[in-house]
Amino acid sequence: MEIHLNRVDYTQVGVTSQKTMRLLPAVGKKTTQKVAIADHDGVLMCFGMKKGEAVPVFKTLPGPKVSRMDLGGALGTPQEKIFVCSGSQVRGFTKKGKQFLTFDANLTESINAMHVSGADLFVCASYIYNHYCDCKDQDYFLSGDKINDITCLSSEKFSRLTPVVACQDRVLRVLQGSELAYDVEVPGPPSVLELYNKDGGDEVLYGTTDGKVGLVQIGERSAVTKWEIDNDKKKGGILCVDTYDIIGDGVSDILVGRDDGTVEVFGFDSSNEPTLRFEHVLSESVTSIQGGCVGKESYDEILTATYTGWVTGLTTEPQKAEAGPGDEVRMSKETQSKIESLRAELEQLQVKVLQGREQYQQTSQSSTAVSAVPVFSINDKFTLSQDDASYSLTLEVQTAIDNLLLQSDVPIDLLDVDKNSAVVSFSECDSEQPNGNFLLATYRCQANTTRLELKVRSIEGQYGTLQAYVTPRLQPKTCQVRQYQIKPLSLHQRMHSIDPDRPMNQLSLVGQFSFAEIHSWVAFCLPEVPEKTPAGESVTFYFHNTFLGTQLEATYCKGEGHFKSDNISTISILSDVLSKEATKKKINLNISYDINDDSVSHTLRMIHPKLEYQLLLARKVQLVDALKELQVHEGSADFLIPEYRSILDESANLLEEYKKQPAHLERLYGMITDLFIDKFKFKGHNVKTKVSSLLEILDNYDLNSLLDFFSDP
Amino acid sequence: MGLFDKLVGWLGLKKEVNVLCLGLDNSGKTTIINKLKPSNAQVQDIVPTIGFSIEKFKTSSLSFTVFDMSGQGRYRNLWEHYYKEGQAIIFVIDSADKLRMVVAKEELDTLLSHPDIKHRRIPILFFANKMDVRDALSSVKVSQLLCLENIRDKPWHICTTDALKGEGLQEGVDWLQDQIKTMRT
Repeated sequence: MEIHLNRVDYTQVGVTSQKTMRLLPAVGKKTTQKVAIADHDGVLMCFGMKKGEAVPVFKTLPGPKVSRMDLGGALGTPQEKIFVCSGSQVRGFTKKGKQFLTFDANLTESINAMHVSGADLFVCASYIYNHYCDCKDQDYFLSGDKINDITCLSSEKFSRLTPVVACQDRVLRVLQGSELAYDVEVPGPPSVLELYNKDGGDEVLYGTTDGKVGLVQIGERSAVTKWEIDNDKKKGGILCVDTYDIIGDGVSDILVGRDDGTVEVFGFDSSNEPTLRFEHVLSESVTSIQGGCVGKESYDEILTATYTGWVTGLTTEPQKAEAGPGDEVRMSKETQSKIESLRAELEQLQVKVLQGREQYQQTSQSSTAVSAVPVFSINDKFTLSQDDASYSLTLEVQTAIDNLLLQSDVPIDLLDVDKNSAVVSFSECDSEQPNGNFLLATYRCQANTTRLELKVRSIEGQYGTLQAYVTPRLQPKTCQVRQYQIKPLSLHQRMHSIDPDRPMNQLSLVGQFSFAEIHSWVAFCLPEVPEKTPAGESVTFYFHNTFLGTQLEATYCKGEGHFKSDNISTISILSDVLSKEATKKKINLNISYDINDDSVSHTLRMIHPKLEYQLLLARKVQLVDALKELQVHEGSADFLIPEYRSILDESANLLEEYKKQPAHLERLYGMITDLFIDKFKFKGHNVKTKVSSLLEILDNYDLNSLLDFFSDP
Repeated sequence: MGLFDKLVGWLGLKKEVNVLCLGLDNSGKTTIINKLKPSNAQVQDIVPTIGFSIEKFKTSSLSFTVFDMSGQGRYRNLWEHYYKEGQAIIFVIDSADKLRMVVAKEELDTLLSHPDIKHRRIPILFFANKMDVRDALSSVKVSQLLCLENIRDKPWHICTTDALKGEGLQEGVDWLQDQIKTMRT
């Protein structure tokens, strides 16, 4: 069953954070609901729709940025008290806009997640979880990694409220009082949690930053995953989810909002499997999503809020259109009046801006005056995508972007992204000079682009910074710089466990360093390591290489560190960087290696299928043109041998694939050469002279001859 | 405006207009007429019309007498007997019934080519009814399917309605009233 939803824009507020819009429960039966939304200016606004216009119920004064909103109220009554948190303060408002609660949590950091349930208040700062009951401190928990969201189960099954915390290290932590009951592993860093059944129950919906959605049933001692929706089409990360029966089949549907603007509705078919029923793209990241009824009574709709503050409804109400004789469809009266009012407003603003600009020009001549720079917010994300071993950098600005400059001091590749409409120009750069650039690129954006997505491919072992200079279309034109670290082992991703049966090489460090020091070195080397030094005496992290599938185990404590990997190159990079860092701090390190000779052939065998596939692809693509010419000459391809015929059949796919990964073969060659050099480096030989003969072998690739060459060059 | 018309206006009497309400069975004709009546005169239960019934309702300046015809196949040949009296036509379409849209088009075509209708410039109001149903067609789509753009010699208007709630009916009747007034003067 398909549904059609029509888009209606309601109003615009300031820049909004994740989960800062809610629908107040309807008063009485079958009437429209009011919308409460809070933005970065600290303004909490509550409005209802009357004849297509937003009529505010109340609006608070500006203040510090609001980071979350939740609805609450005494248990058993309609949940219509509005709670917002800004900084370390939680404020409560009635539905009429009367402030009845100001509660300072006295945290050093600002609150970034909150849940309200009756008199219980759960707040989370970056690593800290706090539970208050009637504003009195109850429980406290320190998480190992950043907390992204919190929700709380209240079911008859549990004797008490059970909070669930979503942490950046890909786990949901289920708490009991101040203690960790157990954790649930999820396939990506969870960014949002929502109760599946709002009236209670033990099921929690989660959404991850890499775009997966799942349902977990939380039990007393363990949890069961009910279902998971994979992210095959590589859509954006999930910022908000909600459950609401929009299709109208009596079963609650899942509403999902993503950071690339996609809004999706998942319904359940007869076998209770979630299936996609509706999709719409809003071009800005969707920060909040709710199901309900706002615009017109008895027509259900999905209400969304975007990053730049647009409150938009996707309604089941058909677009009103009256028609008569004549070729074009006439504009409805509402549209006409909207255009007129916008025109009048624009004219007024133009006059005002012109006056303001003249005044500014005059005062800017003054020698004592200082021109202030307008502040704008940038919502950026720099993440490693697992399936193609490249980083995706997304930048979102509240107004349209004019241009973006990228500068890097490490060799990186910029890949094409289909969604991008910006024009790229690469400037020539001189990497020979000290502090030279390896990349200088400018993206000039088309009109009204507020969001830009780029793909960056890095090489393991080469580390440095990538800087982005963002200039929006604002007067006066200003620019903001963002810095992103490209770590030495940039292609490694955190995971929950590793395969213990692989041949492992070990690197051990012993020296006079503190736990915090070695943690900062590891955080420098590897992505997805929390900045804060973990609690406890020692810590173990597991990683895997997204490109080759090799793994790394890092265990360290005060004065000692052990790193195990089945890839010699990883160990070599680690030892180089760690000794460099230690030398900077003038700490003596005792480095010892334990090299397993089997690991090299193991790694080569892991590379083998990739290399073979790429070589075969390259060989097939070489033939495509020639075969096509033959086909045109002879009129048909029937005389060709089946192998060539199959190449012709899938030529379009092959060419596309080849275009997508031009550097793949070079990347693989580079990795094999590195592996070769590293292997003999640990034995004390310098084999740089033999690289040319290795490349010769790679050109006529055969796994056995390569293995032979590695064992005895 | 003639003297008689003015007199009528002063006396508060309203001009009477005869309107034909046509459409396939189950498209919502009786419901629409019922909804247009004053709230105390409305009936609660609506059953399929047999033959036809005569209903009256008033707007701000006109008094409508509506021949609410049955839309069932066997009664459709009754329609043409009343064409002569009709000064306006309301044609109701079930916009959620995609299957019988062609039947509606056929009936509309025979109506328009009927000798009593063909050469008279009478206004036709289309109601694309049942817009509250989830998979209902929009009025633009309905007008495309019925090829309404081919009607050149008569004023026509289509609007989406939800007869159960009465939404959209007023706009349509307002248009009809304007048309009838301009035709008179």
